[in-house]
Amino acid sequence: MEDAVNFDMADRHRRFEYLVSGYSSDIYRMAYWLCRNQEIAEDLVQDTFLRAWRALGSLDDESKARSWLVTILRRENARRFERKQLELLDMESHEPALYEDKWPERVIERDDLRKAIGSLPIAYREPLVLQILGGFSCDEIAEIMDVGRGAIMTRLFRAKRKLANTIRQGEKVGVRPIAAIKPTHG
Amino acid sequence: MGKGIDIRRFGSGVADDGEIESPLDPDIREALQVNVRKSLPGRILLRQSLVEERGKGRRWKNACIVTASVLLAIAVLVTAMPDTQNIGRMMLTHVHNERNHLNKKHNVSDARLNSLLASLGGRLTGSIGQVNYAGLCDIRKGESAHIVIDSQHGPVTVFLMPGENIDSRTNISDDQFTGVIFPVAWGGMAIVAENPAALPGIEAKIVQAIHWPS
Repeated sequence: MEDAVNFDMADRHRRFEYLVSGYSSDIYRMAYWLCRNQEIAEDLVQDTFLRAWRALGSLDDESKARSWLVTILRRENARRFERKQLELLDMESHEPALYEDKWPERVIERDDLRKAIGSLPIAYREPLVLQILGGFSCDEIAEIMDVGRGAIMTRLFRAKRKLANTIRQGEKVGVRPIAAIKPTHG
Repeated sequence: MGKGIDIRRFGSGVADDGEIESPLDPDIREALQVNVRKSLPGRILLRQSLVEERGKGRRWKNACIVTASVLLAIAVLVTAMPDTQNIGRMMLTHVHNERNHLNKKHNVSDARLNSLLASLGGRLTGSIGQVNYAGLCDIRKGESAHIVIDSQHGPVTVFLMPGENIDSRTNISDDQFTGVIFPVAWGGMAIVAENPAALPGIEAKIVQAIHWPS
């Protein structure tokens, strides 16, 4: 009996480590775009995975682990608001991810897009992040957010239209569009 | 010239179907890629192990102070009887807030359910029927098991609240759900369903099949 318990615990640890190694970065990024604050995002991720550890037995389909974690994350974020009605902090400067093939100018433009995304209403930003970063389909986002599929599609469309308008306005005032500064290869 | 965003294409309605990737998506995806500290996974695992260890220590500590707690518990029971109606309202609100669990079909195995109960100190000794969802949630006294069981009268939500003080068996209801909350040897239990006919059968199964070793 004790062996069975130890086996169960070892299996639980193994599953948890798999979740952490596989999803912690994605969950952090989604948390960041929910709250737009690095420290709060890290706290949210810690709370999310701690809750996931405690409820690991309820995850009976590993293929749904990502949406399961996102659901926990959203709930933790809601709890954060319940605990303390924090004023949303202004978007802090977050060091952008740098890759060798990016030019500095391009990173600056990315930062503008990042700010534009950060300024989207949460109702638009959240499905956008879930779709683009999380890779979820409209149906999956609808289930995660408990909102109809049509509403999700509308929000996604409006979010992207707002971002496109932001870029257009940047063009009008002389800021180069992102496309114009993409590095060329070959 | 490098390939880039064609804003005109985007503006003409390429993204009117949320499933279709718009030309802007790759740039959004890149912009969303904020840096993640490399130490994050390690810190998550560290915190989990600390919480786990603290739980073990707490069980020992609890055993050592149980005698002293008896006197305090008596005093608390005399001076601060819990408001069962308030807990009942909390249960109903919780079911409303997490109504998405009512439609889940996870088909939670007995082993998984037992694992969940074990994390709270409980044990499953028999079948309670088809469990479609099982998870942990915070109720007043701390973590509780939130279980959704299928019945011939529709889904039934069960809350197992170890350590919760329920002074008496109390019926609870609102405009949608009906339930009952009652004390058990190890704490409190609440059963909530849309159809009241579902309650007695589930209660009998739960009381018979779930135990908290004393």
